[in-house]
Amino acid sequence: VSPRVLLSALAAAAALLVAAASARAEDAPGDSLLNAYVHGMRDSTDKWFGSTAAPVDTAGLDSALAAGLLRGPHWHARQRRKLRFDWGPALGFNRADGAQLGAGVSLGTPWLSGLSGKLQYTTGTHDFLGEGAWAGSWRVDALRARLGLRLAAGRYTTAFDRDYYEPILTSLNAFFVGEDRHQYLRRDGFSTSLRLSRETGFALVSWRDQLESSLPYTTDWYLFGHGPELPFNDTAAFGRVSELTFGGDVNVPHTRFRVNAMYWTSDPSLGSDMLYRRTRVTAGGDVSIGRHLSLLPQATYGLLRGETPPQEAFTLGGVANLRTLKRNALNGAGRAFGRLDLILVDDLTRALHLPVPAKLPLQFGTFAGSGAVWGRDPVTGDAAPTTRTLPHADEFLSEVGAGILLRLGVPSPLTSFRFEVAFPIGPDGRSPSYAVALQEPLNLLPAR
Amino acid sequence: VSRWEHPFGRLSPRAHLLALTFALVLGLPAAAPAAADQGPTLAKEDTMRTDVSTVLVKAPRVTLEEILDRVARGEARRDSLMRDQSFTATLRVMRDTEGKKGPVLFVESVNKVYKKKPDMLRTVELRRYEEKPDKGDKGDDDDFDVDFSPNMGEEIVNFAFRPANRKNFRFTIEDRKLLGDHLLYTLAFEPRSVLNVFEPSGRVWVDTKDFVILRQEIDFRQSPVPLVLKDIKHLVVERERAGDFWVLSRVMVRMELSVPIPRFGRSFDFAMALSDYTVNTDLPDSLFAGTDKRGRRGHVRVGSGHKHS
Repeated sequence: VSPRVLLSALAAAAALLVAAASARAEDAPGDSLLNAYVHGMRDSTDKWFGSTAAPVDTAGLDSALAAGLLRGPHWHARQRRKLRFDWGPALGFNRADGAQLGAGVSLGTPWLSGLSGKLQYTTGTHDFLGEGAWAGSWRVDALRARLGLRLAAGRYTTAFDRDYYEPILTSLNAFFVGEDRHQYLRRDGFSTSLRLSRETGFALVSWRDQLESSLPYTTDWYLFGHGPELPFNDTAAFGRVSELTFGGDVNVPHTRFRVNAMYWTSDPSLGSDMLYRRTRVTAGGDVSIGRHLSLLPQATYGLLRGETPPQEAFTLGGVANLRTLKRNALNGAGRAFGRLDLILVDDLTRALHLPVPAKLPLQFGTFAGSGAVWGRDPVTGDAAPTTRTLPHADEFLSEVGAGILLRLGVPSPLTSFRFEVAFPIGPDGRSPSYAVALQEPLNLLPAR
Repeated sequence: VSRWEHPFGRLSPRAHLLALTFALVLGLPAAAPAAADQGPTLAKEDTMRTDVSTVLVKAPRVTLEEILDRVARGEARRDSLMRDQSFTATLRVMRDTEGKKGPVLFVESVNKVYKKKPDMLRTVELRRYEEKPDKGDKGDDDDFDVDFSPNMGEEIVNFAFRPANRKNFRFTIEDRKLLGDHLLYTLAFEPRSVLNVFEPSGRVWVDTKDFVILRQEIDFRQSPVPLVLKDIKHLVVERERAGDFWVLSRVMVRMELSVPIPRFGRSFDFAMALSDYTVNTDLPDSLFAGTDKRGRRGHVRVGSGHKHS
């Protein structure tokens, strides 16, 4: 063997040794076992997902990256600067306005986001409703929160019930079966709200300056008949309302309970024609019992001081609270209501092999509820000024019931169609009632 | 002991020692093939004894709560040590994953992503493919958007361990494995509230050397949106090592729709693979100059068009 060949062989061997040593340095013996274990799990993922887990074809990516970097960082920003425009129908129905036919638009750029408008023609009052609004929000890093501002002005039709009014479902109910039991009023003017939100809650302050007036009963038809359940529309107190609102919502630490509090104040010193202070506090949460049952206590308390315009009163009855009363059957200057639900969270369709369409989870629940309103005119039944802060024991109306919950998950994961039967407790003339509601289990708490 | 089994059995201890030395110095290289020829030889050394007394180790086993605390701290430390990173992100949607004809690529998007603290972000689209682009699209629609955050926190990996979320989950230790000098814990978690049957539960693998999460498998007891999604069958979140860091490498999920969609099917996979990582390479600020302002998310669109690079 010539010295040259020997040297070459030695050099090759040295190179191999260096490579092996460096490989070992990268993958120390302790790490190699861990890496092998992790790769083993990764292989099982590859096997489970098949072609979805295949590595990307890298051909051409380098040149695409070079070209993309040459295009400069403004390229995507230019794409985003384009004007966005969206529109959609804006429809509604109630016995005061009749059909509300119109459309809503929203447009914006990154600098002019959240600009929206809506215009509707009403077939009953032959009027136009509409709104122009702007909304924006900004991060507040110091508080790990987001600050949102909304400005809006327009002409609106809205319900007396300020606590539990859902316009879409109410409109559908009124349009198809005429079973809308809300009362309506007109509001003209502007409103603004400032809201600081974070994961654990929010704080809100808002202001509105609106002329409030009554609406006539104009529409006695609905799709499948004539004569709605309430062939009238209550008279609202007329006047310009300048109202300041403070509100907040917070998680109770170390629990799965939440408290929501709102305070509305209208005062002549603010330029308002009405003088009132309206307070509402609601709390609720869930307690797990084992792995199958959930207990959901919730309660709300409201008090109206000063004048008692009908559109500021508290109401009791219906799927929002006491099911054995008709919707909004009782009005008052004060309201207290509590409800306790016990829900079997397991999916009954799987357990019992029930043929439910789309395999929607079916749950079973029982409930008990009790509530009262006070501060009522005994003759008219309308809210009347009172100095009492609590109801009398004999003013409470109670019920128990049971039902099934078909969980849709839309718009929130807990939203269900609830089919329930409720039985009154006590000899007060109420009778058992059936209810169908689309709501979350903790329905007394306003959505965040 | 038979003679066959113990050829030195009748020798004195001194002779035994001499024979051993002799064998070691001269005989072993030659004896090995000889022993192989004669079959196995068993020997028992009974002249040298030693006793090691039992040592009772008293140390508290690390508690689950401590593990959770350390994981939260480990994840926070990992985040704090990252100054910048770049990777290639591949988003893929496969349709008909459980159909008779097999899975079909529906959408694929490849992007290069650069991030730098505190909140700089740049994305470069490398490839975009859609199986059935809408007619009239010029490649600028917003049919399929993916936003990358400038944040490097990888919340999808450690959401259950974040201090704000931890109270919402119940944890248990499922397994421990000693792999070299790494102790790997498998922790199971599930929502503490049984009402939230749609919230994720699953298992995470935690390397207790650095207290970082290596892998996560997530299940859903019930679909969060049953009206649309019948089932989320399998969700896997994986990390891989990039230098000194464990970084998010894959998020893969198989879902089944409640109602099949024409030209799409019922079952589909969504996969996000992040590869070619670089971490802390001091990316120049000029790379991000003129990109979206502070706090705004970067924007990657997967819309229309055929495969192109």
